[in-house]
Amino acid sequence: MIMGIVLAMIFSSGIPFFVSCMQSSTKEIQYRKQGKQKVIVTDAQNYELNKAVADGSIIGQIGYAHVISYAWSESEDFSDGTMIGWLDDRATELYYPVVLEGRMPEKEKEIAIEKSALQRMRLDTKIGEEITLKTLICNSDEFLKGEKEVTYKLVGILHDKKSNIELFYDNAIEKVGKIPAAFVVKNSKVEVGGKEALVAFFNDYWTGDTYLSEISDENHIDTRAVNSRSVTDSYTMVISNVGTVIFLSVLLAFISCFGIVNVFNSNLKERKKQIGMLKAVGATRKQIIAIFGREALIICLFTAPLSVAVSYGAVKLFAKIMGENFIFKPDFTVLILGVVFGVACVMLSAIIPLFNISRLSPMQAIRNIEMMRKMKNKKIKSQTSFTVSKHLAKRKLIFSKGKNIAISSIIACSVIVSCLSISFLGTVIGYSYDYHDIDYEVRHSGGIGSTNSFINYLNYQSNEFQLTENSKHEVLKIPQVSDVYGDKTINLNIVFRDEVPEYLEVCEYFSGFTTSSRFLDADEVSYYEAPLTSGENHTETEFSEITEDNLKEYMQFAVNPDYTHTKKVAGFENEELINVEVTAQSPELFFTDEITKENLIDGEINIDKLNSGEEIIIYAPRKIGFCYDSGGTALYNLSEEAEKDVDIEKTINQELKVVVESPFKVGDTLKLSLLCDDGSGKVTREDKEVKIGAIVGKKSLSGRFGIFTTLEGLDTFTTKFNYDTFDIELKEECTIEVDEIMQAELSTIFPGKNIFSVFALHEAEKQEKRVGIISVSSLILVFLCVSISLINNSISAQIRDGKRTLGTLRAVGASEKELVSSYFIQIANILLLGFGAGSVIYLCSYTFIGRVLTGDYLPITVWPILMIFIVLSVACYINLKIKIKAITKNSIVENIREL
Amino acid sequence: MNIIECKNLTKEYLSGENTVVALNDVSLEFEKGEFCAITGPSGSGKSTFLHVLSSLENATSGEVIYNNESLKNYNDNQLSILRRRRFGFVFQAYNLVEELTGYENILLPIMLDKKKPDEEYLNKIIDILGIEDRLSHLPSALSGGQQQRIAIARALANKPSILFADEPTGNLDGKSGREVLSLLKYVSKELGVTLILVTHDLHVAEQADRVIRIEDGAVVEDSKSNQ
Repeated sequence: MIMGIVLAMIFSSGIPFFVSCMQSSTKEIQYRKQGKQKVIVTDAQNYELNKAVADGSIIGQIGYAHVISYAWSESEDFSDGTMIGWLDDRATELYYPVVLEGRMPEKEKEIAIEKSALQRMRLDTKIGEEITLKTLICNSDEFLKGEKEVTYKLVGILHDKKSNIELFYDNAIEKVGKIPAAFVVKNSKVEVGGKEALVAFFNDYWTGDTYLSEISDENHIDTRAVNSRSVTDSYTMVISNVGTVIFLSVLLAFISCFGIVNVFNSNLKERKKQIGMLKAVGATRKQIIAIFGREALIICLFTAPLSVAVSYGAVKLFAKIMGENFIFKPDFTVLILGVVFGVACVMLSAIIPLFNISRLSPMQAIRNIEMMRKMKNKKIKSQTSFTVSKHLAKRKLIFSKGKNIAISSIIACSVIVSCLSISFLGTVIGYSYDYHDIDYEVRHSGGIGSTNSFINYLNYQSNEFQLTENSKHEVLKIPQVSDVYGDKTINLNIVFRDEVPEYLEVCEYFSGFTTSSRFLDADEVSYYEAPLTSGENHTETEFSEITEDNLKEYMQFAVNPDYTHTKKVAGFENEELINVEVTAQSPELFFTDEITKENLIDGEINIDKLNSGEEIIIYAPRKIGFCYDSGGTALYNLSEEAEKDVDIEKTINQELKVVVESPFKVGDTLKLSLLCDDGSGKVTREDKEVKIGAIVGKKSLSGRFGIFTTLEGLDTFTTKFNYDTFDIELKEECTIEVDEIMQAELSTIFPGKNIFSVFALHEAEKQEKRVGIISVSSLILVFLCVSISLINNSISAQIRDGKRTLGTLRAVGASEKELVSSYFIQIANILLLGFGAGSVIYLCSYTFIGRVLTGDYLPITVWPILMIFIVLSVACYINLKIKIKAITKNSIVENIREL
Repeated sequence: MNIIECKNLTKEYLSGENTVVALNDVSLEFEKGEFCAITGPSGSGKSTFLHVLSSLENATSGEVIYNNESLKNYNDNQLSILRRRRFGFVFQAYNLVEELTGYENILLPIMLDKKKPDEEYLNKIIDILGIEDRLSHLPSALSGGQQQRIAIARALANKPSILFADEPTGNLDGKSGREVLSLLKYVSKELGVTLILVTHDLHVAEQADRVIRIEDGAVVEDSKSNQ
């Protein structure tokens, strides 16, 4: 019983520790990355913030960073520098600088700098070395004229904060430059003639923000406040794990309570006679509960230090394995809470069996009336020949029917939970993002032509952080970079003097008549509030079933007003335009994605002709089409491959099927028209005729049509476009250090742009997998422990209960092997029942979940079932052998003697 | 001819800090087919003697010799085989396996030995003991006398050489006790089995060929040596 209580205490006291771990981890990550403050005000010297705090307009703490200068590296740009300042005590507490290496400055001319600020300045200075920086001296919200060189001794490297604030605070980019990322000793003075600037940190979001809005409105000034968002991307990983931990905590609580009930049940059953005797001599129910409850409480309190120490260690280990984002620093209150929670769980769970046993009459308790009744009611047929161990096990199972359901159920649960989690973990582990040989990707987030897809809006690309040739060269200058590949995506129009090929009309239909189509679907029509150009007599419901016959009619149902407008302004009134996305890439990237030899339908890829603008590659599967399912509701894509699929063919409505063959051949000439608006509202038109050099789309299952060319090919148009993405390749394999440098460098070149690091993604993937493996392993371990513990309790109870039978069997000549075998057969039956039920439920639910989630039957994983079965069987066998050995160590007389 | 003998048997128990001597240097010999009653007051060590002699318990010192071979040379497995093939036990509390029927309890030593039962022999015992109609019942459905008869049948099922009985009539009323005793006597004579019986009932002891009296763990009287 002691062991059972200790286990239950470990599980239950672990819950407050888990919760504490999650809470402290989440907070610590936020503090490390952003600080404890909620509002930051730059140029705070201009406002009477202290007065506002004094009169209660701002509640809470306020601290200041005293900014004395702006510094940058001699070898780098001015813009790569940082503010230098010092933090007062409150600000130190609020801004929460974390020293990664070294210490904070203690003497004059010592400096501690944030990691990314050091990298931005391209300083590879080590702790203890001197750095010479160019500085501008602060003069309130301006600088004194003239640069000055200052030499500092680098004493500390700090965790990034300023760069995180830049990312995670609203309106941060413009104002964050005023926040220092380099710190000198406290009370450092500004050079003579200058005046320090102040950056204020508040910890109360609402009053701080309200006060600043008020003074901003009153004085018509920019209050230069940056307000924190409540949750940041940086610790969404932790947040996402909260669900897992809550699930684990609830599970632990449930399992510990279940375990305790079981332990007490077994223990009290063993002591039934004792309880019966106590009742016979006059003990009341209350007294029985008090006697045995007190005993449980005493065991709990005695074992509490050990249990709490083990669960503390387990959570500590968990936090360590999970990585630096997980912090477990419980205070004394949490430790006490762990003990209280553990004891409360044990005592509350113990009440049920105590209550039940106290209700028995004395004679019921003394004599095993329940068993005798069962024996009398069972019709037993005498066997004339039997194997003793098997026969005895069988009889015991018959008489104890229903008693072991709890154990079988928990085994079934173990199988279901373990197998499901392993199966799904397997799919997660098996999946890995493949980014060819690319290490980084920078994406232009603006998009081209935000209103009319037929026209390229160049003014959208005029802000200063574009992916230009210059920025490409900047990236190439980074020492670690080997190559940069860019691609450009623009909208072109194919011009048709006659009718548009049906193939392209089907493409338009299949894409859902979006704003890049000539026609809109019903939703888009209402959105545009456009008059229906034709077919006013039709209603939307008439087209719920599209056939080859009514397709043309549907096409006339609603013309896209953008299309009508474009045709008018660009002078295409008598021609039809089909809007196509053109992707221009470096030829090196051609063969990694869609334009591969395997995907080539016709022609050959001639880079020279693509570069000269003479040829293009079109993406046009041989056949495309669509169909509806037999119910006429769900739209299917019907490519050549899909058409061959017997299963799809069976499910579709053959009457509602449209299949069109591609009319395009290698050598055909297409008339292309590039329409651009430079922001003036005037649309320029540039027409060009090109030949189809190659057709790809062999493996395609989509009704998409597109054009590919090289970057040089696209440049044959007079209008020049910026890049949409840069794919960056490193010279050597990426490491944590290189990734930090690259992220800092790319953020400097492309501020505010989406920088995607394959290394970081893989690291995140690894972390995710690690978290998954740890969670699943813990889950399986917990279930295995609980199952083993329950079986152990059951074995112990049975052996103690059947000690006399064991002695009798020994007396009539049964060997130890036969005794072990008799009990093992019983356990094997319980195990098999649990495994059978668990496996069936697992297989059904896994297949069902697989079908629902992926639309397909997932492969079944059998090894977890076998593994758990083997582990449990071996553990039970060894446990049983030890217990029987302990019994047979005693003499037969000791076994037989009445207790 | 001696079937079993013991030399200098001593059995000590620890009771708290004190050592209790239950058997003190007991040496005895038993002949084949003999009916021997061991008597003595409560706590004299007679049951302990029977347990040690029958290998249910180990002696602290001394040895038991069965068929001229010391049981000290037997391992656990060999002792189990000896108990199932050569010894039969009848306990005061019957000690039937509750989950098995009367007949299955009788078959227990034979089944443990993986042998085919000698049905003729078994029927004879069952007939002598008069338990034909109680064989399919579970022990919980039998009276004390019936349970003890089943226990005797089980003890005799494997044709043992020696039948050890520890107060076999202790839990029975006078009539049942007398019946059981006469049955034990009858079957031991009929089957040629040595019967070593522990009792504190002098009327039971009177029916034995030989009576040994034990007091304070030592043999104080042996009717055989008196002759």
